[in-house]
Amino acid sequence: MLMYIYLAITAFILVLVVVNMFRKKNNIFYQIDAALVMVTLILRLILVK
Amino acid sequence: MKKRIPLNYITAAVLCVIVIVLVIVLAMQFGLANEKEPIYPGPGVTDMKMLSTWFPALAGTNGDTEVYILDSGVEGASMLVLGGTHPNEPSGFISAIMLIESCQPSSGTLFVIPRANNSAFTCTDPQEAAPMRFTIDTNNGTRWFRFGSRATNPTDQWPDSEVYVHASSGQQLSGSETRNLNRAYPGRADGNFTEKVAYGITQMIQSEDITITVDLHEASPEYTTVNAIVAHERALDLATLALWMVEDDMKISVEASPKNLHGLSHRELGDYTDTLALLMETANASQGRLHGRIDSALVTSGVDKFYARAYGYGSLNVDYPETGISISERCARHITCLKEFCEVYDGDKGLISLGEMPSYDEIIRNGIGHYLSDPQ
Repeated sequence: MLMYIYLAITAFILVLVVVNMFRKKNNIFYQIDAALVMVTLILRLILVK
Repeated sequence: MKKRIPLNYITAAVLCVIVIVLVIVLAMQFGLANEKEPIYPGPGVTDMKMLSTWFPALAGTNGDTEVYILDSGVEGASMLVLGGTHPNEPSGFISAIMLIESCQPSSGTLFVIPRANNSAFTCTDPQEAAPMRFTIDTNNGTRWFRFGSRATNPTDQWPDSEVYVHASSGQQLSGSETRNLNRAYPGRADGNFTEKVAYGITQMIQSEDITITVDLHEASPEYTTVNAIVAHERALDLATLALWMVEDDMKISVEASPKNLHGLSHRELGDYTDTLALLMETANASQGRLHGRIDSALVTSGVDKFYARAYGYGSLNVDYPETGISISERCARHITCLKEFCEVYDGDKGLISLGEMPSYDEIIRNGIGHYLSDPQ
């Protein structure tokens, strides 16, 4: 059960990161940061890592 | 007027594509961790079952694992050899494979579980930069083997509690031990993943009335219990007799299983079953805190200038030459002692003999690869 709560939290944070990445204007470094965070979050979400 | 797509949308979309490509590449790389090295059963293997035969709840999980049965056809005692309880201690795993591929017992029955914690073979320990694989040269080719983790893969059991409470004793240990198979015995049918694996092994020992159980391990050269046999009090005579037989070949000690350290195979399997429970430790540099770069060569040769230097300072509990302690020597220790446990057993369940096995010197001289099957 704890694992599914963890996965739900991970998915929620991933959505926030993606939304913010699209909203952020004129800051490519912020977007790259967000992309790197997305990699680890997606891997967590599919239980890789 | 045509509306332009904002630049930040374009860069974000491009980055999303890059992220997806990266995730696919990393996931494929991760998938390699689940690939098992082939084991080629030798002429002594009469049957192969899964651990779920004795505990069906394990079926279909990463905790289910192969149990190789080498029945001599001559009634007698039985021995269970556990390799791969800790897959970052490879000499136990390789010794178990050597038994499967080349042992032909002449009396009694030998049971071998090469990957006792099958899940722990699918990951490595965090922050160790350990290799996923190592290789051993056989007579006609090179074979690869998994180098795994001390603990169950967190994708099979997570999260760890802050404090691990051993179920049957109430003993409290560090939370990092929650996924350690050798802190989970005798296990629980309704416990966590690792406890279920331990329960399966305990059930098997009880059902098959296993006479002797030997759990093969390795330890870092600076650890206090190394080059040692740890024996449950009912198995102390057996361990001591075997020590007398092998002490011309090697320096080795016998230690009594502490009665207040719970969850370990040599304690709980001895307490909860009728088996004579033993555990063996050899010196593995790739496990310690002092080694340099950890790679396949360190795992198999044991050559490490930092350990050789530490030995010069008198900081180790074993003799550590500059030529290292090879996996052949470590396996030779395991195999020689296993053979002697069988030879000196003189209980009421009859005899058990592993048949013709190479001597300690022969294994070191020819290399452990000589006694493994060629890659097919």
